Amino acid sequence: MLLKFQDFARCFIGSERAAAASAIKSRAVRSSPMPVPVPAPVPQLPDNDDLLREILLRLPPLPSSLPRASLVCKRWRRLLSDPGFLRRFREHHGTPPLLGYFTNDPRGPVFTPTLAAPNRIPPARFEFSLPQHQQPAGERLFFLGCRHGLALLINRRRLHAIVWDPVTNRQATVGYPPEFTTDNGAHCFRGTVLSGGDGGGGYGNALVPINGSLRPFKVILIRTEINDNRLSVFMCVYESRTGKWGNTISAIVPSSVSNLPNVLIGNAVLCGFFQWPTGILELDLDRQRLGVIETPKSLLHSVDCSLFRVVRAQDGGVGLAVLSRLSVQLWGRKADSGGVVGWVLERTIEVDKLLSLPPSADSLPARILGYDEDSNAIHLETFAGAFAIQLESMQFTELFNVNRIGSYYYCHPYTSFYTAGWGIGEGDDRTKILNNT
Amino acid sequence: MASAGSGDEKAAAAAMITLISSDNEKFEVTEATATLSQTIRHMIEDGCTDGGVPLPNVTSKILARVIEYCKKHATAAAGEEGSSSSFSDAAFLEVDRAFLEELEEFDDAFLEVDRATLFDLILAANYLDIKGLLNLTCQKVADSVKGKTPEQIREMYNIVNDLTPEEEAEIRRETQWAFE
Repeated sequence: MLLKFQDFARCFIGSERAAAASAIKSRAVRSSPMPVPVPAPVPQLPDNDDLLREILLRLPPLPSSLPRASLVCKRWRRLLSDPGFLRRFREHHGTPPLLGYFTNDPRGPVFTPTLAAPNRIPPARFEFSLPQHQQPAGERLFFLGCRHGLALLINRRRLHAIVWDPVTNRQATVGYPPEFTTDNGAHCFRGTVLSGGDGGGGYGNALVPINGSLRPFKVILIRTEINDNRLSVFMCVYESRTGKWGNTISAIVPSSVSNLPNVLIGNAVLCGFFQWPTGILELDLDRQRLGVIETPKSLLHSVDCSLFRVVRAQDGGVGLAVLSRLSVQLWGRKADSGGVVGWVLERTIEVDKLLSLPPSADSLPARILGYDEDSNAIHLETFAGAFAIQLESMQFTELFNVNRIGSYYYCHPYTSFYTAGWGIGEGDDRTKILNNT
Repeated sequence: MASAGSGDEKAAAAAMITLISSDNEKFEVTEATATLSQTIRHMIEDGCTDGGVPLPNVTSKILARVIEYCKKHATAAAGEEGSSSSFSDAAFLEVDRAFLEELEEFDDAFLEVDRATLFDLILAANYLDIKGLLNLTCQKVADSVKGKTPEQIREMYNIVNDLTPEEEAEIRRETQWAFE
């Protein structure tokens, strides 16, 4: 990508700095026979799309970055609305920023932004709505969770799941697996979603692409049944790449469980789902296996997800964060000399010291709000506000508006790149679908 | 360039490359320094560096800065390679961190230039295909517009707003919140 140098205006003149002044001098002495133009122009950016792209790629991944830059001039707007550029922008940054929280509400999923202005996306921007002809009359949609920028909802009357990308507003529906419909879906009200990651993107019969095309994804639906004081958990995994549900897999756990947000460990293991005083569940997507992970014996933890969460440990494997008042214990698993894997306490975060909380805060315990698996950050609400603490660097950032989140027990951090929704041809996909169908 | 002499001298001489700026100034640099540029690396591989490498797109002022960058980063790379065999893990990590810190300080100081020079460095890094330098300089420009309004960005970089009022209104309507 060699440049067209004639395109580049060299403008050393008029700069206030000494370095520029000496540049003018040496230039004038050496070669330039041209008279110095007046008034002095400001240096201009290289007149080269490749180089402008290299610069724009490095804008911060926050939601206001690209809309603001798009409003500079036609050229920037054109570069910034190119899908190839947007893909490179996401790849360059890797980790998507936390935009806010989604909660389940009778009206559907409700978004609460946790960034400060100008990166605060208003809740109305992420309001879920179906295309007009599919608008259910009085049907309630249940929001089950989000991951990789995708949200999962279920329609318990029509027995289908809806995968929704709030940023692009693209949606796809997936009918329940047959085994989950025998009781009219009565025992299926949990699930999770993740992006498929491995290319592909073919759509099968079970999937009706509502509008536009969605990235490849996987949906996991969960059905539970209580028998003889034991809880049977059934899971089924749908892959958009093949358009098929896999075999139903199951595990039996104690009946006295509570919900625990699941966390993706590595590429294909989800941990959490349910917790009871001695264990949690583990779903291996590659091996299609559902198992139980016993939690540390020394730790009779509370079965309350505001005090106990699955996190990624230092080695990237499954870890646990256990909160007690203002201290977070981080546990990981290690093999001993005999090869037996057991839990070890890796670190303890003294939240009051880290956040320099005033002493009066000591009487008020903190609570875990959520865990951002993309950034590996735990979100704590304290007396002095809510904070995201990155578990490797221990750097923390404030979360805004947290008091507006409807229910702390069913709230899900939402991370995504805001790389759609403005500029050329990136408008509202809802109109597109109406034209297409 | 490589003429008579002992084997050692010959090797040392052979490892030097002459770069010639647009204003005909000659810079003699080691091959390790020069090959941070993929463009020059390819020329060396093709054996077309005898008599020096003319760089008609780079002035002596900018080339001197580029060489300063390459020297520092080539040394750091060589240091890392050399240290891996002679230090224990902990010592290696310590040395590694010291290198990285020093390199970061160097980069920060290196970027303390006026905008015209910064843009010339971007052009040179692109022409010479020096990935690290291109990343560093482009990041510097991207950082400079962080948190700025479109008006401020235009003013900073002397960009003419050629969007029609309708286009402007469309972007603002879609993402009003981004301009608060």
